[in-house]
Amino acid sequence: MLTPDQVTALAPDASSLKAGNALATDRKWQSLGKDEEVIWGLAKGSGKNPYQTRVSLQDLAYKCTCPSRKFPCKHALGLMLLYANSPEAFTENERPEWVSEWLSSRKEREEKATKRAASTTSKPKDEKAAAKRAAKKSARIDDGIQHLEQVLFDIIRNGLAQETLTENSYWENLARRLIDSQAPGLAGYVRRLGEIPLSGLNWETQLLHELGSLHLLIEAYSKLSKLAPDLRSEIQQLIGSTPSKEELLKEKGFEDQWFVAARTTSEQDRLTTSATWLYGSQSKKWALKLEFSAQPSRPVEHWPLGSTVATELVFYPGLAPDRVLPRNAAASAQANNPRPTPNGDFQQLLANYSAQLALNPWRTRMPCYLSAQPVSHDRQQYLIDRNGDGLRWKASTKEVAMMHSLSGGHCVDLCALWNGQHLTILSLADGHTWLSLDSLVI
Amino acid sequence: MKASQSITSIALLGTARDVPFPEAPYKVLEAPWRTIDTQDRPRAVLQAAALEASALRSGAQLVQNIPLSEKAPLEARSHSPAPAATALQRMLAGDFSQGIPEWLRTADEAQLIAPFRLLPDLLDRGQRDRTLRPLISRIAGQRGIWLARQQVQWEWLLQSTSVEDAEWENGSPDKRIAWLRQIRQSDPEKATESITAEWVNESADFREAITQLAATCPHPCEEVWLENLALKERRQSTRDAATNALARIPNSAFLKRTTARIQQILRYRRSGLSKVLSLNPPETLATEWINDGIRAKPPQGTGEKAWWMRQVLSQAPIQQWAAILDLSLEQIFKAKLDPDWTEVIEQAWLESIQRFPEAECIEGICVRMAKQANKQNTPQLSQILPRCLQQVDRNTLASLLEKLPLSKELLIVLLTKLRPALCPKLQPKLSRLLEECWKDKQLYLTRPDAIALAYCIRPEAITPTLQTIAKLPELSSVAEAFANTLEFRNSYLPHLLKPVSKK
Repeated sequence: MLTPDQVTALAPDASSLKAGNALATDRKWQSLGKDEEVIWGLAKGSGKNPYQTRVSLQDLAYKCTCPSRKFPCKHALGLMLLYANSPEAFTENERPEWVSEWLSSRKEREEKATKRAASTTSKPKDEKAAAKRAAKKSARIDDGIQHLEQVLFDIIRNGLAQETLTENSYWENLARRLIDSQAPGLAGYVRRLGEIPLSGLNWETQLLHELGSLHLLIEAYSKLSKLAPDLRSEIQQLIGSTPSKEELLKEKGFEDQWFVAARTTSEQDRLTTSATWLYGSQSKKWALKLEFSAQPSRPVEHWPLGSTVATELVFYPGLAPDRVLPRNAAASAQANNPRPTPNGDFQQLLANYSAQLALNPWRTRMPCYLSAQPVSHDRQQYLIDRNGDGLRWKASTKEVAMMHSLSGGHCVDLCALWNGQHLTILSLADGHTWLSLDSLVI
Repeated sequence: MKASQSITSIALLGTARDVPFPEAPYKVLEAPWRTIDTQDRPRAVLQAAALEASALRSGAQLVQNIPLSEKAPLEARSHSPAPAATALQRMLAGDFSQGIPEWLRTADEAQLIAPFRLLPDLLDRGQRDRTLRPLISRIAGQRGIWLARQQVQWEWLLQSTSVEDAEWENGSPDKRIAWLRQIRQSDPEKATESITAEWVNESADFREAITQLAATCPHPCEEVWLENLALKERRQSTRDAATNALARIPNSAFLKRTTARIQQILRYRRSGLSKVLSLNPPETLATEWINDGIRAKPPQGTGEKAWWMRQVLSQAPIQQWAAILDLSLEQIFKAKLDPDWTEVIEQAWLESIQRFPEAECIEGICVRMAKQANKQNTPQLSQILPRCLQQVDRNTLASLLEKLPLSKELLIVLLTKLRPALCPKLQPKLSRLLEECWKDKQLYLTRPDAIALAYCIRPEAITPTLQTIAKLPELSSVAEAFANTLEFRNSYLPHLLKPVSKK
């Protein structure tokens, strides 16, 4: 299945999307065709010959003969949008040669890559060299962590009132130093610290708490060898060493009907990250799938928001882990399956979060899927669950208006994140439609 | 939070200063707090901060007893289908926004309501654009009213809903007007009493708003306050609204006075072989005329007497002329005009139909003007005719356009400016006109004109029109814009015209 939202998420910019929308009509195409694997079309352009556009339905890879330097180009976007909205317009079903050639060349490349990977893994491992590399990496991390600890002590010694702490460049330089030390997890932590100064009332307390948590992480890392395997793995991931996908896929996964509950996209250093929260219909477990893509291309998401996917997810090791790797990333999603019934409440959410914090004090957020209604009281925003219990809700004016409009004083099914202080709504139901709140308040 | 401020205050000042280490801020932290080695101050502060952070994160409390808002009533109408909702979302975001009135009108005719998620944007749009308000009110449903009760800026939506009597005393201006509108229909005498009692205490703006309410459909019992209060206002626009209202009350004293004045100045006299309509202006402007809203000082470039005549003649519907002269309306509009007074009489007619937009008068004037059309006066008529015709409803307009002897240029102007609901008879005329536009370079069409014309095509004619366009060897950018607009309309109109059953 392909939805307009999935295609929209692929657009490199607003003008490409607008141009793609204009091309999403069969009048603009000389011919349109499809089979189970691929869709194709001949786009009428300004040149003598029409542009040949094809898109693989398996992974939304595309190719077009137009000279555009946008990826995907407007023709590929238009073809996908047209297919998402009116698949019946694709009347041809016999692949033209230019489509078959493209598919076979892709297949060849994939086979070569698989062979290359297999030959790399089948090569006898040079244990000595690997140990040397690991020791070198560990030394660099240690070096970075030592520097970070010294910086934390200096900050506390000289006080949080220093003006340099309010400059983003101070934190950015520290983050770069940590990336050089092969500790990207810590670098991300430090970048988040840079967003706190002057961000609101009591920012100093918030910054101090985050510095304290970071220091706790550093102390835990210093005792790494003495820690239990799960805690050790958690610390290593927080520092920035994630296990290889190949190793991870050897582990047993967790099968369920996963509801695609929420998706957020963020950008940092020309890297786009798409975070998808999946909710197990039977297990009630949460899973976080991350996709990364270097700009200008965008992460490809095969599972539309609000769909369900029956598949196996492998959890990363750690303490109450939520990050997952799908065993089959191209597993097909079902749009028409009913959504799981939300059965949680805020009391349960707080209890679960406390339990998780006891295991993992660096857990910064906890997703929830429940029914609640927005209420404005004393100039504060709250979400109230079916039991009448409320939690603070952080929302923009537009989000407040939108939630009130959707709720009308009734409870609405929604997916939100709790960070210990307030909730942030990620997605919610409008009748039978499941939507991201972000997309509604642009 | 006192203890938390303490650890923060140490961190703010820096541990280089010798400040005592604070006690544990919460009882639950007392035991781990005691294990902190306070000799190494920076480390101790960071450890204490980590403890405090964990305690705060895991110790959040539920908020209880928050009063809930009243629930919105269930909707009687169905929601618009998903493809139509998506189209409205695009229009509200700026794509093809000219189509919003059509979307709203079609949804209302199909007894649908707008999707809840689009209501905030739709109500904001209504706040900025008053012309859309009546349409939005009809498709906002119960949820729209519920929202408007909570947001002051959307209170205009409540004007058609039931308003409590107390709102007249304590409500906002919008709510007071809404109450007045409601009570004028159910109990006009009570409305008159309320207006009369409060008139002197109201602001000039509110007095004008009240008078405007009465201007289009006054009740006979309102004559007294209109005559004695509104007509004596200093503000000209309030006095104009009062004269409009009074002229609509049969046998009102004002109408009698105005009719007498028109009778006094209007002449239908013999001139050579035929009769002409002429005027006989007074030498001076009587005080009674000024009291009835006639302005003495003319605008620049207009003579004094011509100015007085124009105002007097336009203060009553043109039907009054027919009664005075014992002629039919058709005879009046076919009559020859005294060359000295032609401009004044025609201006008076135009002003009269702005005030009293009776379809037969508008038709009479437009037929007269269309017959007079030539290349020289086409630009002038392109301004005047839309002004006349915008007074009638869309269906009357369509039948008028069919009757009027219009040139192609004037027809394009009227269609693009007024966008009537085309009757089936006019549709082939438009199709032929468009075909000529695509082929004939002389018949120039701008891009905005082409988009506006695309909204004149009847829904059932969209697909055939697109098929005709598809056969054209090459499309100009103007024709492309026309086709894009038609395709966009085709993406939602079929769904609105054949709505799905209620969820």
